[in-house]
Amino acid sequence: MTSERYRRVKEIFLAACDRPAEQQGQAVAEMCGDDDDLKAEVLSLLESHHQANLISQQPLEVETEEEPSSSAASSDTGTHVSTAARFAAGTVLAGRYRIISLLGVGGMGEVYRADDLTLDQAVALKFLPPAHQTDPAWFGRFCNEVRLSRQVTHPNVCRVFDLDQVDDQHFISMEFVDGENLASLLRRIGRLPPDKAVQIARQLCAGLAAAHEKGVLHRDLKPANVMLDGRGQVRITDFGISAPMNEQGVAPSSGTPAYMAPEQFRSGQASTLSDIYSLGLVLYEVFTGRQAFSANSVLEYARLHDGTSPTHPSTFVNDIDPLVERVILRCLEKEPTRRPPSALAVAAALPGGDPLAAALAAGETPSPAMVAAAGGDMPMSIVRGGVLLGLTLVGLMAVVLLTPIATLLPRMALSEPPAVLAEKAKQVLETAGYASALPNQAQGFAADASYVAWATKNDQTRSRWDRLASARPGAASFWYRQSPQPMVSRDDFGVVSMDEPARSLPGMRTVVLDPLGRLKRLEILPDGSRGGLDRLTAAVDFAPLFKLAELNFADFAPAEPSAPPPMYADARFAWRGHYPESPRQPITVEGASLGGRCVYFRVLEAWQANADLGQLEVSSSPRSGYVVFQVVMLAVIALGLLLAWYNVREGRGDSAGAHKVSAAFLVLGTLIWLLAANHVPQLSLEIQMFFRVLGFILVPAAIVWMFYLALEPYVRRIWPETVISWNRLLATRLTDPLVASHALIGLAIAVAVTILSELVNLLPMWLGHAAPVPYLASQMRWLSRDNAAATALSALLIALYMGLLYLLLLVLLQLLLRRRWLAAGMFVLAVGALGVQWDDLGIAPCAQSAITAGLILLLLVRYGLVAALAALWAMFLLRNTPLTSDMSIWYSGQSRFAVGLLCVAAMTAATLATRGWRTARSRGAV
Amino acid sequence: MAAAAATSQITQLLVRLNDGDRSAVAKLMPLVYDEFRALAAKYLRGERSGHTLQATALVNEAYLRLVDQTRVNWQGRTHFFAVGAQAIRRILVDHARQRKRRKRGGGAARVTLDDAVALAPQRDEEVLALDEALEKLAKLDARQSQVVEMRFFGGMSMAEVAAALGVSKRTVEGDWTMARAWLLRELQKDRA
Repeated sequence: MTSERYRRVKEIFLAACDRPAEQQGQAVAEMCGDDDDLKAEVLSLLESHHQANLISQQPLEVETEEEPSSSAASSDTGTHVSTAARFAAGTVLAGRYRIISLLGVGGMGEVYRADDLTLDQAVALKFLPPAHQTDPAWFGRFCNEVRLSRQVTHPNVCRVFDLDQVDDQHFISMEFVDGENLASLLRRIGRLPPDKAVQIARQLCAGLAAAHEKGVLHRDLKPANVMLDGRGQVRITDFGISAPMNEQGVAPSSGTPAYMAPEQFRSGQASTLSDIYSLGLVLYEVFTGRQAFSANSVLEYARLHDGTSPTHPSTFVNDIDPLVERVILRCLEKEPTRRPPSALAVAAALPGGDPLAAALAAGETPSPAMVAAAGGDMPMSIVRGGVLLGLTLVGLMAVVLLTPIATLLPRMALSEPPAVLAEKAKQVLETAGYASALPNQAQGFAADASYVAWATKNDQTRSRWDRLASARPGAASFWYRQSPQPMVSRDDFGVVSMDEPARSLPGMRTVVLDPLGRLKRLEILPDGSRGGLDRLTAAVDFAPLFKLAELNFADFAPAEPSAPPPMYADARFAWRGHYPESPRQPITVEGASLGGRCVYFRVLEAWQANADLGQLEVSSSPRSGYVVFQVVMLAVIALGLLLAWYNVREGRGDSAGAHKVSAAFLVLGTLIWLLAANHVPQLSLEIQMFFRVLGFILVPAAIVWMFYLALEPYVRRIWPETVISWNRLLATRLTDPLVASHALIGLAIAVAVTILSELVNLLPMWLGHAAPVPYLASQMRWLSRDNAAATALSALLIALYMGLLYLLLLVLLQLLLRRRWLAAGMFVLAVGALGVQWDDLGIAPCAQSAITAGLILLLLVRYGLVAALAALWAMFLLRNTPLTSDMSIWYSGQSRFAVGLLCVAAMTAATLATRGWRTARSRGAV
Repeated sequence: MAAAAATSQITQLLVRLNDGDRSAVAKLMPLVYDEFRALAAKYLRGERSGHTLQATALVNEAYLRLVDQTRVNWQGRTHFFAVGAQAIRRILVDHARQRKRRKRGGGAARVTLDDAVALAPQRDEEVLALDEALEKLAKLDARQSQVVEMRFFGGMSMAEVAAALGVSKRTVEGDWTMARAWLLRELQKDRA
C-alpha cells in the first residue's frame, strides 16, 4: 500500500468512526464507491478499532499467581488488596452502617462488611474506587447495578438493597454473604467433588436463569463473582456491568477477558448466549479445577476464545460424567446458536438433572420458563418428518377426493353462484312491484333444517339425502335482503344473516330462493307510505310469482289460509297443489297482499304446513348436548374463579401466558370481524358493531383467561410434558423444532380423523343403513361469507378455545378422579357427547365422536397442547370449508385456499421440525 | 561533574529545539539514551520480574535528573518527553533482542498506558513485533508512527503529543485512533 492510499483509507476510516456503529458499514460503502479493496481495508480496520476500544475498556485482569487473600469472607479479591482502607473499622456511616472490615477491592470498587445499626443486620457496602467517585459514567454503572439486581429475586442471586451516599461518596448496600468466592475456593482446593460440583452448577443455572427471565444479562460471570455461603449456597454477585437485554450493544460490553464469549470480543454484543458461554467456562473450572483457556493478554484471550477449542475436561479428570463434559463443551461452542438456548437448558442437561423432574420431586410447580426449557431441542428425523408430511399431503388429497361421495355439499345443487341468485331475487322483487332497489342489501346461504329434520324421523333409507340434488325440497336456501336502513347484525362477528338483524324495520324486503334460483319465499314489510292503500280493492296477480317459483298455477286449487302472515296485510290467499316434477308430493302456497301489492308469498312443504311458522327457520338442529355442556360450564366457572384466585395468590398462575392467550382471542376476533362482517357506511353504527363483537369475544377470552390461571398450573405440575412446546410457543419461539414437530403431528392426525369421519359416514350406507344426518350449519354459514381467510381464522379461534378447554377439562378430571385411565375414559365420554347430534344416535355419528375425542386425548397426552391445537384447527377448517373436488364450481376457491393453507402449514412445520437434523446427527448428539 | 555538564548540554539543546532547531533532536538522543537505559535497568531490576514499566514515571524521573527545569518551558519539556519515548522504545527493543539471543524467554517488561492496553506487548516477540509494525507504519504515515511512540512509550497525553508535533489535538486523536486499529490488525495478522 502506498502512503497516498493509506491517507485515503484513513480519511474514510475516521469519517466512519464518527458515525454510530450501526451506520458505519453503510457510510463506508457510500464513501468507497465501487472500490472493493478500499472498502474491505476500511471495514477490517473498523473491526480492529472496535476490538481495540473493547479491550481498552477492560481492566487488564490477568490471573496472578499470588496467594489468595487469607480472609475467608473476601468478596472480590483483586490485585490491589494492599490499598489502604478508606474507612477504619468502627466508623459509622450515614448514622446507620458501622464498618467492620474491608472485604476486598475489585475493579468496580471497595467492598466493606458493615453492621446495619437500624435493622441490626450484617450487610456489605460497596464503594466506587476513589478515583472514579465523581465520574458520572461510573456512577451510572453503579446505579445500573442496583437497578438490575433489584429486578431479580432469587435465592442464588445476591440481593442488593439500596444506593446511599456519605460525603459525596456513593455506595451500595447489599446482602452480606458470609462465605468465600468460587475463585478463591477453587484456588484453595482445586476442582470440586463431582456431586458438589453438580449442586453448584445447578444453582448457578437457576440464578442465571432467574436473571435472564427478567431480561437482565450478567455480562461478567466468573468464579470471582460467585459467592458460596457457609452452607454452600451459591450467590451470583456483581451485576455491575450487566445491562438489560434490550440495550445490548449500546452499553459498553466490558466483561473480564478470560470469561468473555467470542462474539463479545468480535462485536461487543452480549446476549443470554454469551452469558451461557461464560457459564460454561465457570463450570469447566468447577468440574476440572482448571481454566478452559489461560492467557497473558487480552489479545491472546480473544484469539483463544475465537479460534481454539478447549481441551476436553476428561483429559484432566478421568471420572468426569460424560453428560457434564458434553454440556460444558456445548456451552463453549464458538457459534452462539449452537449453545444451549437457556441456563435452564444447561441445568436440564446436567446428570440426573432434569430441573423439571427436580422441581416435581420437590413438590413445586415448575415455572413456565422451566417447562419450556425441558424436553431438549432435537429436530425430528428427516425420514420421520418426510413420512408425516407425505401422509398429510396425500391425506388431504384423499379428503378432497372423498368429498363428492362422503359429504352432502357437492350433491346439493349449489352450482349457481351467489351473484346470479341475487339477480334472480331482484327479478322477483321487480315482478312483485318493488322495482327500485333499497340502498342496503345483503345475501347468503342458510342451511334449511326442516327437510333434514323431517327425513331424519321419517326416512330411514340409505338414499334419503339423494333428493337434495334436485334442490326441492333442499337442505339449503339462498336469501336476499334489502333494507332502507343499514343492517347492523348482532351476530358473533357482525355478519348479516336471514334472521339477523331481525326482519322488523318498515320497508325491509326478503327473498328466499332454492339453490337453483326458484322462489321459495317473499316477505315485504309495509313501509307506511299511504300510496298503496288507495288501491284497496285492486286484485293481485300471483301467477307471475308462481312462475318464478317454477310452479304451474294450473296445478293449484285455492284453499283456506292456515296461519297469519308475518306482516300487516289486507288480503290473504292460499293454494294447494304439487311440484310439477313430483305430483305426489303435496305442497301449500300461502300469499298475502296490502293495497294491491303482494307482501307475502311462501311455498310450504307438507311437513311445514302444520308446524308453527315462527319456528321454521331454525339454522341447525338443536343439540341437547350443548345445553348440558352449558349448565356444567356455569358450575365449573364458579369453581374456576376460586382456583384462579388461589393460584394467583400463591404465585403459581402464569398470568403472562393467560394474558397472551386472551390477547390472541381479541386479536383473532377483531380480524375475523374485519374480514367477514357486513360493514356499514356509518361510523357510529360501525363502532357500535365493533364493541358488540368485542363483547362477544371478551366472554370466551375471559373464560379462557380464568381457566388458564385456574388449571394450567396443575397441568404444569402433573403433566408438564404436555405443555413444553406450548410454553415455547408462548415465549414466541415459533421456529422451535419441537413446536413445529408437534404441529406437524397434529396436522397429520387431523387429516386422518377427517378421512376416518368421511369413511365412517359412508359405512352405514355400505351396510344398507340410513345415511347419517349431515352437519351443514357452519359450512353453509361460511359458504355464504365466501371469505376463506376468515374461515381459517375462525377455525383457529375455535381450536384455541376448545383445545385449551379440553386440556383443562382433562386436568380437572384427573384432579377429581385421581386415576389416569378413569380421567381419560370420562374425557372421551364428555368430549364425545359434545360432538354427537342427539337426535340421530346412529352408530356412525357416535363412532365418529368417539374417534375424534379419543384422538384428541391421545394428542394431548402423548404430544401435548400444541399438537391438539394444530389438529383441532385443521379439523375445524376442513369441516367448515365447503370442500369440493370440482374446480369449476364458484366456491372452489375457498376449497383450494383451505387445502393449500393446510399444505403450506404442513410443509412449513416439516421444514422447521427437521431443520438442523443433519448437523445434530453428525455431531453425534443422537 | 559529568552529570552537571550533561544537564546543561541537554537543557541547551531543548531550548534550541524549542526555538525551531530540529537538528537538536539528533544531538539530544545520544545524550539521554544512556541515562534512560540506566534508569530503565534500575526500574526493571527493582521490581519483580514481569512487573510493569511505568513509562511516564521513568521519563519524569529522567527529566527531573537531566534537565534544568528553570530554563525550559512547557514546550521544552514536551520535546524531552518525545525524545524519551523514542529512547524507551529502543531500550525495550534492545532488551527484548538481547534476551532472545540469550534464549531466555519469558515475560518482557510490560508497559502500561490505559488507552494503549490493546497494544500492550507481553512477550519479547511481541515487543519486537510492535517495533517492526511501527517501522512499517512509519513508511505509510510517519506522523502516526510518532504519535504511537510518544503515547505508548512516552506516556504523553494527546495535548502533549500535539504540542510536540506542532499539530492540533484533533489531528493527533485521529492519528491515534487510526494507528491503533491498524497496529492491532497488523499484530493479530502476525500472531495468527
